[in-house]
Amino acid sequence: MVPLTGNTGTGHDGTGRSDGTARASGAARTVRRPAPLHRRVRLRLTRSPAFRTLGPFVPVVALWWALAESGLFPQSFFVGPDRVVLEFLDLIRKGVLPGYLGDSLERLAYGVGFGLLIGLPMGFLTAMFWRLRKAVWPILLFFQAIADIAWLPIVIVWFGFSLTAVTFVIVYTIVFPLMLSVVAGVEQVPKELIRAARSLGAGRVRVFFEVILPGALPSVATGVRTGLGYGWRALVAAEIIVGTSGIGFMMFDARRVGDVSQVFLGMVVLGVLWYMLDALVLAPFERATVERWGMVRSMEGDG
Amino acid sequence: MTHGPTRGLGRAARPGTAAPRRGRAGDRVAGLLWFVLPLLALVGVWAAAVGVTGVPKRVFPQVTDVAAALWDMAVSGELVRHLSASLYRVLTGGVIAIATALPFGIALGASRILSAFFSPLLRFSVALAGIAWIPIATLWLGYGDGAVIFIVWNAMFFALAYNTMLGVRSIPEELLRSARSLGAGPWRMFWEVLLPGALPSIVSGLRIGLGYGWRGLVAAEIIATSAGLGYALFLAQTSFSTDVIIASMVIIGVLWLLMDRLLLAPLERSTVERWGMTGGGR
Amino acid sequence: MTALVIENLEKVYTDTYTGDEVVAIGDVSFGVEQGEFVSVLGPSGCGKTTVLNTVAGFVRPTSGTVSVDGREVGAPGPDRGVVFQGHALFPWKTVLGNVVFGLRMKGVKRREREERGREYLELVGLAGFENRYPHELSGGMRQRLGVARVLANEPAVMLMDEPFASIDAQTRRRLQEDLTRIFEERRPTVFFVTHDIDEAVFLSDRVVVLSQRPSTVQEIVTVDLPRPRSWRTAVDDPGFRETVARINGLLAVDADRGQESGDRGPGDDGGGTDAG
Repeated sequence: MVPLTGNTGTGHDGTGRSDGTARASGAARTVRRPAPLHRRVRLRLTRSPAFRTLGPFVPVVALWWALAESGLFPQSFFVGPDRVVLEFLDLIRKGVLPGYLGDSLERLAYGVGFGLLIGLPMGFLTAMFWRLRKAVWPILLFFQAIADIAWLPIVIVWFGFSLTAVTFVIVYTIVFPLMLSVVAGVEQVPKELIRAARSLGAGRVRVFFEVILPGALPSVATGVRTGLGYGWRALVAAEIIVGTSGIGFMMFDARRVGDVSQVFLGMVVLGVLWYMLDALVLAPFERATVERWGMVRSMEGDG
Repeated sequence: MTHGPTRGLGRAARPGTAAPRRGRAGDRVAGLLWFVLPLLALVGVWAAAVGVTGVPKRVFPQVTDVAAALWDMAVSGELVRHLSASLYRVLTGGVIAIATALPFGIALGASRILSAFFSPLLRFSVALAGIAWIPIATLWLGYGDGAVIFIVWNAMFFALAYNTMLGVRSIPEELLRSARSLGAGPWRMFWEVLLPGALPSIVSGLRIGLGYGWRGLVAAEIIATSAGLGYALFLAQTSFSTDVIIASMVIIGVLWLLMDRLLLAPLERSTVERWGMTGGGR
Repeated sequence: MTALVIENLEKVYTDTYTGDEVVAIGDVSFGVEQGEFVSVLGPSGCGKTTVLNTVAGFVRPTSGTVSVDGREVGAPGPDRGVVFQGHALFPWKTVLGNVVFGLRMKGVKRREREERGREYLELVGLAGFENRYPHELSGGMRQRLGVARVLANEPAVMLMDEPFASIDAQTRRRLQEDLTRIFEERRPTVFFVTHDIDEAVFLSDRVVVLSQRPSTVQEIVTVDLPRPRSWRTAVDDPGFRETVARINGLLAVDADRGQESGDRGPGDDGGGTDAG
């Protein structure tokens, strides 16, 4: 049970595990030679998650900068990170960016909130009753097939250029992938687990809450991720098209007047925001559940 | 030991068609019926709802209005014009994306260092891909085909490259070693081991990428062109022709289902499922 | 008193691929006394797991009855706890959470159920692992947990479906000895399915030998091995070796007779027996 492959090189946190030292001492003489300082520092660095996720961006930003400075592209098409940072500070000072950011996040929050509220129960209902599923499935596939953005025109006809229109599209875009993932998740719950619970005295309701719900979680988590990814895109598209405020609007407005640095800034902001959403909300949730339980997460496609 | 998913969504996604019983005509007809009947029922509910409530056409059209709009589009040649414009763009973008993303993803996946380095970059790019590039794409390439094809390519490229990389990383080390010890050179490794080994992941990347690409296409057409299904939608919206809007939406939906059925599903069936590998994602 | 009675069990199902009717269980009848350890043994694909699944209530028999403590059973219930080959532990519950699951379903108060849970963990040698998650345990420990989870629920019969089949040979021996010890200490009623002859003889009071599909009871062999049992003494015991040889003979004759009669047994690998 004791893991045999510890940290072989660093020697930093291997502070005398008392059991097994006698057994390991023979091997330790040959393996445990303190590593030279530079290697220890390097290992320390390359193992920290922050370095591993943020490190690769350093050369990329440097390359971007060099490309911009080289004058290969005209300034009206392509600007370096320095200009984007200046633009960022300027828009913060004017209060434009925080305002737009707030608007975008508020729309996303509404859309995601309602999307989860509708998608999760409907998904589980569809998954639990196979007759219902058989009848609803083609309709689900068809609505999933009508790309969410295609709803925008009719939604504008219904609700005008409003928050409701944007929210509708985001909700729509989240509900269907979520429902499909929930159904897949419920199908993935091993039959043996349900049988085990039943033979330990669990009724149908308890089987649902104690087995099916947590068992479907990996797939549901993937579904939420996918749904958020789609919702995110739908938000940007809706803001470009409906366009009164928000990051998407800001970018397209800037494009109309030819302000490239603001377009670049918008893209960077969108990317960073998604990363933060992922790092601060989705990943911790998955660490606390799926990974802690040692369940394999179903394959994910996006960030 | 781990109670992980053993079946991918790819297969689970089509219970309506009762897949494994091959060659039995009755089952196929039943499967088709189970697919068509719910949709027909939906149309029935739609017709009844509009008939009973009497909502004005300006808000929601009757089934017959939409059918008439479809007919008009077909007769006037508009349908062909928009369809061909959209299909041309999505196919061009898609083909370029596959041709660029597969070699890139496999090259990354074959090296531990490269994949560790590019993993966060690709995840970042996947999150951004597609629609967020519309402003910059139209700035660089102007309004028109170029910008839309760029968006489709961009939307697909990152998801496809990322999934391909993951797929290659997930090939068991034993398989690589055995291929090498059987004398496979780099070229052979690519075609005979890395590509097929990564295929389940590639197919799911293709699904996700095509989904992003399709959405990107519609959005880009609304914003940046004067032909295509997205443009038809947008044009109809400015004149409040709900019948044309709904008709275009139906075409978009049907087209996607056809692409899924005629391109992705057969690919999956003839490779991943045939080999008994599980597909992931959707 | 007879704890479990199986009478004229028959199971026919339709093959999903060919549409043919397959008789999995022909006619099986036998009983398990209270506090008795009975193994069901048979060639792979003979439907022994189907018998267990029918007793557990996972599968409906085509005809025949299963009764526990005099009551006929249908759906799965807490009177028949099952230990699965694949453990079937809840990955999202801790070791303690898994053990007390059944008690929680019964509505036993938290303090009492945790006390009893700990007692059973102690019994199977898992004390100190209460707050681990199943994926952190080794295969052998997982199956100990599977046993503790069922015993804590105090079922009328404990059903065990090839519980040690996917565990390495060394660990399997130890688990078998531990199971014997627990059985001798607590005297639960056990219905044990296996394809390993040594295992069946070592553990059981009686061994039900099934024939090839469609399975019928070929013979019920009584094992005369004194308890407490251990592998060290058993392998040298002439009675043990004789019983093993006898069952081996029964299965070999049957195999010659029914060659190729149907080998698509769900969940049975044709691994056969090891050690000997």
